[in-house]
Amino acid sequence: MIKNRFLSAKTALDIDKRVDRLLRDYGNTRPPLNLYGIRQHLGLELRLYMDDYLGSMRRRVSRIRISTLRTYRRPALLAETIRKFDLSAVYLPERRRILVDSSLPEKKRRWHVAHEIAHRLIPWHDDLAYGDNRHTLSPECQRQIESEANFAAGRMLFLGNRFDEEARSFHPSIESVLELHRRFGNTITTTLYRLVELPATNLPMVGMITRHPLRKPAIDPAGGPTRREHFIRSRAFERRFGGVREDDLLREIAGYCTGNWIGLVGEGELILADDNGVRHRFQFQTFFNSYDALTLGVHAGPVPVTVGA
Amino acid sequence: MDPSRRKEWQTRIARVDSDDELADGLMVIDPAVAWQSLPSTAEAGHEESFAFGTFVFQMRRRLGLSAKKLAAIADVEIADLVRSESDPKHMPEVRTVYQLARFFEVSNAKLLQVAGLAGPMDPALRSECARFVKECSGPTRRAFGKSPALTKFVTALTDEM
Repeated sequence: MIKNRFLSAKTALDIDKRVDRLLRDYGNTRPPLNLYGIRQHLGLELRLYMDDYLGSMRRRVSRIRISTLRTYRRPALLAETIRKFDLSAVYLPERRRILVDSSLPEKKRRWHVAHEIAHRLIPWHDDLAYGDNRHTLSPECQRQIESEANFAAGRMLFLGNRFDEEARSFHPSIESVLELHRRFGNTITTTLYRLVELPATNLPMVGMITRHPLRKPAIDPAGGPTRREHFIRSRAFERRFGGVREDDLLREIAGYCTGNWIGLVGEGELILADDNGVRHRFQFQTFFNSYDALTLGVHAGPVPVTVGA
Repeated sequence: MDPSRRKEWQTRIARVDSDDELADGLMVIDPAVAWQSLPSTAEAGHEESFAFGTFVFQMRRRLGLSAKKLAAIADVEIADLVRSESDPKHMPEVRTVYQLARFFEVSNAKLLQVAGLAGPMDPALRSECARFVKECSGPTRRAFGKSPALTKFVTALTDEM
């Protein structure tokens, strides 16, 4: 399961400033963010690609400069890259162009476009795209830059502090995730992510994006999981409940889930032990959108200690 | 919201939003290189794993800056800076490398290689790293920040080479 990563304070602040400046310069601070306008403002072109586009790209790719000289020697590089890594979006810096898979639903495409715009916005990603063609990035470097682009995309699509202020006016729950999702025009999944990662909150919260908890994990022929599942922790949860294992939690969540296959599939109170062994109550809700189960768990206080007479 | 409307609304939203997943687009990466198999500089176990930390330390001493002062001027996390200097296995933040490359006026792309964040390292740069670390840590080492090896290494880290 993929765990969310927290950026260092300086990196987060630096990215925040860049996103705020972009939103201010663009002059749009009302949700939903007009991504078309943002792209126009930055002079970025959007191209949608389909599978058959990859075929034609093999012929035309010599005119598309990615960032490496290797492109010229191996014209099919871009198509190969997209296929091999199953990419949904690519940013071509020299062309100031974003390529996005045309088969993606609109809201999901919106996330990918924002993510690629974020790469353009973060100056220390420049050298990584324009890098020497003989080198590639270490896995750690990739994890860092993708986390940074996700963070920037989130701040952009949820209009920086505006989401934080509005989210704090709700009690965190699946209902508030759905309401914020409607207001900001982004996917429920990214809204859940933003809510759990809400800065400046000391409330331990945990989110999960998984298969339906009552369904067994699908295994591909190679033996690995067939889907990406996410375990999202608020800073306070990470600090105090570092010992909670995602697989154990998913098993407990399955305990309160019903056989519903769409909408709210269950809610219940679970007891989680903090790193000092103190037991705490969490209110959990799980929502299923027919593909992903989205779970939110919110701290409700320590379990009362009964003192014997 | 009454419970029946709430359920209906949630179901409708679930249908609209189905087949959604979080995704992380990659920037253009050359698939010809299997990055998973690349050893980091720290894993390589050679002198070059010490090169980044030694370079930062020597440059800082040359400029007469404390770690705290350098972190403030270059606008980087002091913890990242201190660990980079002292722990050859530590992977610095990409932004830290970028900020330091700008501050020290060297190539960011080359400093990323030295820090183990990009690879494989150029053979010429690799041998410069090894020489630099050896000269800075050997018995004949010069005063901190004054070593000719540092000047030579800075030249190796510029874009022109």
